[in-house]
Amino acid sequence: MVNGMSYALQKRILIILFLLVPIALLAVFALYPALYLVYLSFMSWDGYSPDKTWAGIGNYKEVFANKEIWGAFLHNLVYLGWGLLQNALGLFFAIMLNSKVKGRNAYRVLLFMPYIMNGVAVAYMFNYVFNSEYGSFNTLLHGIGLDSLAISWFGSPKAVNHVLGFITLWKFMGLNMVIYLAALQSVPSEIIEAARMDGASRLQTTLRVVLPNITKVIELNLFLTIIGTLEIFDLPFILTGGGPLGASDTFLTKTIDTAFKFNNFGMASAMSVTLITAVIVVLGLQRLATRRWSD
Amino acid sequence: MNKNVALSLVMTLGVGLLAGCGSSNGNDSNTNAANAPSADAGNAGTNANGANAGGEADSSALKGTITWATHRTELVDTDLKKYVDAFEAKYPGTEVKIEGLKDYEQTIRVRMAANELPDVLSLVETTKADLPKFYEPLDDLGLDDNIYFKDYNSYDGKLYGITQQVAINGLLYNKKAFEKAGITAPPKTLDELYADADKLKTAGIVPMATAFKDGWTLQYWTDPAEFIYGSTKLRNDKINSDTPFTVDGPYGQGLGILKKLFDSGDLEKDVYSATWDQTQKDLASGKTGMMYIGNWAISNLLSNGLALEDIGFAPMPYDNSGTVKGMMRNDWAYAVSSTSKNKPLAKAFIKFMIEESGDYKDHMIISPLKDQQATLTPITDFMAFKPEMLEAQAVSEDVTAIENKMQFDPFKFIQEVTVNKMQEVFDGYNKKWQAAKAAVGK
Repeated sequence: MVNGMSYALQKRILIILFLLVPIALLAVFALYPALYLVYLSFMSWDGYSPDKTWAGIGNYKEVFANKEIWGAFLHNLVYLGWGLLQNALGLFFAIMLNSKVKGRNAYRVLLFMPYIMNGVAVAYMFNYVFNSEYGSFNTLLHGIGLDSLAISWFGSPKAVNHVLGFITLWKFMGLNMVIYLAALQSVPSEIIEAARMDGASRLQTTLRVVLPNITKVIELNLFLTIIGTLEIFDLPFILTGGGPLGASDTFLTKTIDTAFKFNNFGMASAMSVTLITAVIVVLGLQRLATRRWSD
Repeated sequence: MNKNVALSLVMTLGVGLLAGCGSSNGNDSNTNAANAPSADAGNAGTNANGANAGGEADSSALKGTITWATHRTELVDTDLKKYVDAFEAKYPGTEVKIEGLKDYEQTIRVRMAANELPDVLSLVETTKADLPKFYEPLDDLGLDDNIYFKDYNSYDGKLYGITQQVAINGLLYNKKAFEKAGITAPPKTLDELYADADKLKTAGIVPMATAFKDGWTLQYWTDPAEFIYGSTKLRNDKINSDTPFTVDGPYGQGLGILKKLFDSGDLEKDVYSATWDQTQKDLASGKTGMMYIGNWAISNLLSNGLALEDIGFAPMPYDNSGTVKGMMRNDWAYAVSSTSKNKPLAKAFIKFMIEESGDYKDHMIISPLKDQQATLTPITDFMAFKPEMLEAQAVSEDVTAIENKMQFDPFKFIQEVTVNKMQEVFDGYNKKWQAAKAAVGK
């Protein structure tokens, strides 16, 4: 049977057969749920009953009219601030550890370790660190006489997002660092050497020669950071549950509450679609900005 | 060829199940009829006909296997296994598979949407009109007149769920801590409550635990509001008002008790980091004096090392009259899935769990059966105050619809009232309530 076919046809059949399984899997587990999410965002559904009713753009209207939901986006901004700091620190450590420091591999491992740790474990760990009465951090503050600084870290509406932002920095800085490190090592040593011979100082070499060569990677890291901060969820969900009094709610914890606490799957779907759109918009702006910068 | 046959069989089975789902709205005999063809998978067809579906049915008719999904995951391999073994010994030829679900409610909701509920389960609340869609009536167990909270999970005169226990809310206190502060008897009036709190504070004991951060432990604090209102309809009666939350109304007065305790520093030092895990330990060790919570927490104190004779339990005063009331709340309810293929066995199992398992004695909780008197000392102590007992009510459909629309989180509501200015919080919630009420059109 095979003999009768031309080589090109055989090849095509083979390609289609090989692609069939992954595409089917993709369609079933990624495309279909995504499309279904969009479909649900136009429905009114409580999540379990067999009847869904058409809601049109009502869900979207409600999302945009609800001040609390947009207030939660402000909390995400705090994470973004810490995310930018995280990138700066990651780059700093990458540059430091790219030079010939003694024991640099040990440092690299140490700084990367938090990223490997399970997010829930990290959350519990910091729960002990920042506990207001029994926590190690406040014990330390009391120990060195800074009693007035030993506040309830997860309990203060003003501090809570910064504490959570700090934890994300601690966890994800290693990842940023490793990516920057890889980029730094791909910068050809010839041009650095040439700059040195021309009399450039170390700072000048870094700013004028190395950084312009890794803009693409900086862009990538910012991309990862922005997605991460817009979609931050696990830390506030586990550590504070959105509290105190909603001060650490993020857009995603709000979405989850809308779906599973208030049984409003339609609106929760609309919120998810809104979040995806927001991510696309922000990333588009970022690309626009970085393109101008690198030109 | 064989595959095609198998495929079409699967299809017909699937269609049969779907049909069963569709027709189960009306009467349950239809459900059985629709399911009968698909029952040939293993169960004897006779069992599927619900004619003699009583718990008292001839035990020889009880055969086969059922699945029991439960939220009590910590007991699955120990006590619950013991009860299942006893049940299987009583009815040979039966098998009950226990399935402990950690994220119980979410898991069951997903299965609900997929129409794959286990035979016996803890009822997950739906709108009342949806109860017959998912659950089987339990009236033929013959327990209707003897259980608390019969109306809670009933619709159209039929009973769909039996609460697995009755919880009485009261002031749970550490007698040793009270002694240390020089308090000889639990407070009978509101003034005494505040005075006792002061004494505890002077003795270096945190007077009232709330586990504020966890939120759910605060839900019981609306009880005083209902005592003042005189009925557990308070939450449902909101429907009659556009401004249900008022400072001088039941909500303001009832939650005012908690607020006053907070304002005078009688709660945990840092409420935002107070959790239930820590609270149990502190209550048992006497670091904390009392807490307003359900009687089920007695066993938590025991397992944290407080002796039974040191555990006090008393009604919570809500005014200065000296008369007291007690709140009874229901728990998760036993239910049988409407799509179960072995309903008689499922029902017999529920009856066994409630009447014979020994669950209530083992875990020192209160049986839902009215004729079974609690004998545990703290509970008899509580009853000695002769409180007027109120039965909590299900939240009505309309109120649920509005509350979900306004995204009303009762835990957060109580938290906000406690730490913020009551008037401002109430104004905000009244506004949201009014808008949501208009939007839902009630």
